[in-house]
Amino acid sequence: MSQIILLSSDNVEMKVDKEVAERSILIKNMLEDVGETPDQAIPIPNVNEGVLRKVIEWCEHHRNDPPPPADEDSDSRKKSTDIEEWDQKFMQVDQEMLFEIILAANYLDIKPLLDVGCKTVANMIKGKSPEEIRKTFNIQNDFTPEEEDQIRRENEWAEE
Amino acid sequence: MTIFLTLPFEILELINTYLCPRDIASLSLTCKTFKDRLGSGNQYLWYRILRQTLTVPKPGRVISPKIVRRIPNFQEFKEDVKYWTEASDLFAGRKLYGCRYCLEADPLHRKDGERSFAFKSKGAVFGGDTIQQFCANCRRDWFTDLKTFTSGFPEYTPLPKSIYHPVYGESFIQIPSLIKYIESKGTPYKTITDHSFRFKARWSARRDEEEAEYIDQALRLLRDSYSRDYRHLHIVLPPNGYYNLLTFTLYREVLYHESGHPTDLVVFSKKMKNHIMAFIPILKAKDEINTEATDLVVTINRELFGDPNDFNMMSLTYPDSVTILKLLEPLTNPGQPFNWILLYSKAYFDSTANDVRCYWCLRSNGGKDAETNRFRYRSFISKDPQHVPWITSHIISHHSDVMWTRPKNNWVHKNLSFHSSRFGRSHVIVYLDGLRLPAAEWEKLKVRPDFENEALERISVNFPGWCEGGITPSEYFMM
Repeated sequence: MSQIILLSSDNVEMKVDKEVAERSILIKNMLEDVGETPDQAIPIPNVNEGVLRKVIEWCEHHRNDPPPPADEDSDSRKKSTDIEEWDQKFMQVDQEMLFEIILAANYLDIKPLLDVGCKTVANMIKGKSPEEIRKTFNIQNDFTPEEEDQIRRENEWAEE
Repeated sequence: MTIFLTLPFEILELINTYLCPRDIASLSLTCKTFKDRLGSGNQYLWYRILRQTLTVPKPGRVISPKIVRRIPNFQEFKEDVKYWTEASDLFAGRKLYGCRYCLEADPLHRKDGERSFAFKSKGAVFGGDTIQQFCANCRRDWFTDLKTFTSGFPEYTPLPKSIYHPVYGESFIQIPSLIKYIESKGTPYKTITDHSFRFKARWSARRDEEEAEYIDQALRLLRDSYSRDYRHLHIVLPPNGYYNLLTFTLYREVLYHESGHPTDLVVFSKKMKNHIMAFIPILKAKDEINTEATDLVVTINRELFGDPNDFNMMSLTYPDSVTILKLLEPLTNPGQPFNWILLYSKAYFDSTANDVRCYWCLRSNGGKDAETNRFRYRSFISKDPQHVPWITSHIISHHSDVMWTRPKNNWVHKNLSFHSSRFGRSHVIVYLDGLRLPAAEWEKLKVRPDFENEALERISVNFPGWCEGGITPSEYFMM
């Protein structure tokens, strides 16, 4: 099994199986363009060591997954937010890491990981009132009292 | 500032696809940034949400006619329409007869001009001043009643009065406040909702704890066995099929246990073991469906699952248990996986005296097969072997949704060669060469109106002895 080296944004090198790294469409396309397995490290400038390790862990676990059906309607609303047990555990990280993983998955073009991340965030939002969402994500309420009053009147449907 | 606020818009979009409009609205009300990105500041987003929610048909659901009248507004984006206001109007509107949460009307109870929801009457609900309107589905997601709750969590009752609904009392208990209450008792809600935990809690409350432990073990055995051997079946099994299969699995675990005696299967209570042992000789002696077999299934299930209200007993008393055992036999031999022909169990093609009717067609038409495509071909279809290709193609072309996952390579029988057979959403019709469909029938098949514009593919299949005489229809469909 040929291996390639990834270089994180903080200059840490990581050896991974080519097959594992190719879960990332970005890397896959890159390798296809190059044509042969490169000797030098592939720089992943947007992703730091911790996040990259996490992403690789996910790719390792899902290395044998079949590719997702391509014709899935990406715009369909109300998709199921069920998450596989392993993925659920995998996503039990602090919020900063969670969003970093999502950004990394987006950058590296790993659709299934991106989906899992977004589902996790969605599950944190689902069914909550604005106040509860603020608490969950530590969002500062920056409306003035007047604004807030007006918003509440306009949007009673979203308030519980 | 939390990184959440700075996510690229396309990621926010992706998260939104997993949320209800109301969740998105809640999110937009948390701070200025989200108000601009997701709230009234983003009319196009709300146009899309409304269009998606209202114009994409969902099977079996009806949108309230009052809402339907507004749909033309959402067909294309218009600068002057205030979509955010429209949405808030639609979701909170008092005279729109739609579920406040998902905008759908309840098809079962809907009569024009009449409210059809649980919250018909007036009254302030949960501190708000809006009359609550929830459809059955959303209600199920958001509310429970005392009776249901008690049966699931006996150890948490009685509940403090503050949890009850101020107007409707114990018939509407809000699930989020229940969760808070349960967690305040010190157990994370996730653990409590774990099947094993709930089952044991319920069972111990009614009978005794040791028994609960036994039965829980048995259920877990079934579950593991299922995920080990039959996981790929779950998408193709008809409703209740999962339970049927569990039943069967239990059989197998008992019948094929190495020692021939389930002594080392610790999961069974003595009483159950005796039951099972008494029936095994009978089962082994007969290979046809018999009342004893059915009785055994009933007994085992009753022992295992106890309360018929919790599980559908009808689905468990599978009359064909023994035959299914035969059917799934290849699974028990490693290295000899079965192929998807398995789909044609009786559950899929309910056979009557003269013809075969498609389970899925019947199901989607509420049992009125006269309106189905299949009806037109009833005279053509019979249980004769040569019609299997037709049935195959019917399933693939009409019900690909129930089998959309393409069988993995290792599903396919090693003796069968499938050439570029793509099962799933595409409309490839598969022809099984080995079945000797008469040439004339094949030609007929090709010109059927249903199959226009669809690729016909020949697939060479060698089923030794499969179509020879001596196979009963039942066995045939069980292959």
